[in-house]
Amino acid sequence: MPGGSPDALEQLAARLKAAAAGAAGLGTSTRQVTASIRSGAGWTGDAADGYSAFTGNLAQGAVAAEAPMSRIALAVQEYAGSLRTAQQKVAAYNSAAETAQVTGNDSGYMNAASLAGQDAAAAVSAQQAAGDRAAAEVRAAGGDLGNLLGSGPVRGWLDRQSVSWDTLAGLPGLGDPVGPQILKTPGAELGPEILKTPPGELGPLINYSEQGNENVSDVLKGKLGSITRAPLPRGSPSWSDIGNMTMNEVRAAARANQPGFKTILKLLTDSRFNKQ
Amino acid sequence: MAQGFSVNANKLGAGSQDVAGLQGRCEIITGNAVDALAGMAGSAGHAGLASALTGAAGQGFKAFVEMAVAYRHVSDSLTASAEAYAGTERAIAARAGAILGGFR
Repeated sequence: MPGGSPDALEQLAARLKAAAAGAAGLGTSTRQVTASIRSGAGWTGDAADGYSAFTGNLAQGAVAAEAPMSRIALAVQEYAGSLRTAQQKVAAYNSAAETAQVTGNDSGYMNAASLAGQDAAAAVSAQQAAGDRAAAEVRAAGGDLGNLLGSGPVRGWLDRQSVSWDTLAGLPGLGDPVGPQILKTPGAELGPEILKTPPGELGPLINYSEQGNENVSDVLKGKLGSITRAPLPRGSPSWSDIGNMTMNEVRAAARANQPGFKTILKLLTDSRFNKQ
Repeated sequence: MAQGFSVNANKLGAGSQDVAGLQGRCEIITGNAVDALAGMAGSAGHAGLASALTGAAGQGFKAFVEMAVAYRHVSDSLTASAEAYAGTERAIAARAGAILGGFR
């Protein structure tokens, strides 16, 4: 019997499609909200123009996420149909074979089982081909997801940050260690210019003390919610499993090379993932 | 050559919260999208498709986290710029007061 769950795939595809619509909505809202901030403040000048270019690029990136996410949802939905058919055909074959056996291999039932077997083989073959096609589509769409911001000012700003993108580099599918670099507070900049962080600003500090007795769940309260969605290495514990662990215990587990703990420790201790 | 500027610093600073709201929406979308992609990988029953979906989950996660970070940057920068504009205005007002005071 081919593995997998067509029902789950269809439900998740619908959820991804809703997220895709949400991304498009976010892009539209970004345009409206940021334009309204500028006009409401009567903001003019070079800095205001830089702000509009940056936020326009951001809005465009969010809107651009809709298409690849929808393509993935559609590809998976189509594959789910093939998987369901294959599972039904294999189940029918199993049933026909069992019946033939029970009837002492009666030739009529044997023929029926043989036909069901051919049907099942064809359906499994079609399911594999559909899976290959869906995989190609998902890979292409994934590539598009990786390039949502194009080469505009947001990508330029991300690339100019000098702290390496190492926190995510060790996670599956999250790029190379020397790739785009983000989240560092830039050095001294002059004047009231939007999108340049003023001199001396160090950004939000990690909100746990050095003693390391804080629970993971407490540390998570000061972190971006999205870090708990980061794909973790195989064998990692779930976030709920480690909620009561202290940071010292997490550090010890990371030192002991327990699966996933190095990544978890990075996510918990990197100030770039702090909430505002 | 830089042009002159005009701005209502208070209103600019207030916009920071609106952008923080957009950042929050971005994070929710990140979670939903990555959950869906990772879940599909686990339910695919096809190794190649599962691998592609895992890769897309990673690419999507990175893309959305980058956008969330950019939203935060805009939000922080609006606050910082509003403060800087207000500070500049106060300094100009103080100097103008001193200069104009000399005419009295």
